[in-house]
Amino acid sequence: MSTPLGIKAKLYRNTGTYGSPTWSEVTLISDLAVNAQWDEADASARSSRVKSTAKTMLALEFTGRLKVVPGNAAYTAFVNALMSDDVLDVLVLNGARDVNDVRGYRCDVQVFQGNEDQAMANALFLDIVMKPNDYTNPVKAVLVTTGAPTYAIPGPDGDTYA
Amino acid sequence: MSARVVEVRDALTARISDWWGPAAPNAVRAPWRMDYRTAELVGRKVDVYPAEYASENATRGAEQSDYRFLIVVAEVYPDPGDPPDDWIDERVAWCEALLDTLDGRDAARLLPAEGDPFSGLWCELAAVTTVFDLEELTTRNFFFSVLDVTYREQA
Repeated sequence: MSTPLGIKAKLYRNTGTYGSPTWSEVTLISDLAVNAQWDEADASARSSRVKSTAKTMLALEFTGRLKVVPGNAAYTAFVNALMSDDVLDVLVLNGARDVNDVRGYRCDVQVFQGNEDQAMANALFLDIVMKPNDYTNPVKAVLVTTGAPTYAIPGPDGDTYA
Repeated sequence: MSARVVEVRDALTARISDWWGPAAPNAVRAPWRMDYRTAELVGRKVDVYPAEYASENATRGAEQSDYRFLIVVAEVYPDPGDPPDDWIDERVAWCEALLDTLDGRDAARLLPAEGDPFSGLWCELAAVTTVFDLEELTTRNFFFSVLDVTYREQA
């Protein structure tokens, strides 16, 4: 497999139902970052002089730059989500969703931030921050196998790909 | 099929011509060779030369491309003797007006797709890099000015 590149990573938006998703690639995205950070709890005890740390909660966040294209369906969906409580069902992958061993997340997200630098010489982009929403569907870790995404729920045992 | 840089050059040439409306012997041209024989040069010539272009990824689905052009404004003072200052003033002002036309905030985009006002190329950078060539003016009564413009598109 060749070296994975950011340009080949994919952000999809579900325009169907949760159970029967229709994945539409968001090609207006330029830079996107997946930020996954576990909170830590000090679990040290007298049994050892080495400090012990335990994972508690996973903070998951997606940041990206979305090209401003007025009237475009994907752009409109993200702006509407920014302006409202709308929830987007997104698939954030480090490759195409039909390429084996590609990984990522499927999340119901809300758009918490949308910064647009309107400097005179700029082409306009919306810098967005998406975070999982407390919604019906839990966050799922994704692994593409046999040409299709398979899902697992990140859990306390770390069995993300059971 | 023309190269994109040639399509953009032709659109830029047409834009200048539409704005100026030159009457012969004045002309807006798109030559490849830079050849100014002042003994044969009559009227004001505005020549558009492609200088460079480059592309990079703007998004995961679109490229951003820059096209740089040099616009030469060339004219020989037609009368005997040295050109008076107001003749030079007029041409310097004309070049400034041309630059303002190309990079003005209300300037229409080049080669827009029909029905999509956000498509096409916009003027990203514009400068007059040679207001006039002192040596040419002094030795040949030749007004020679250079504008440097860069057009950008994301498609």
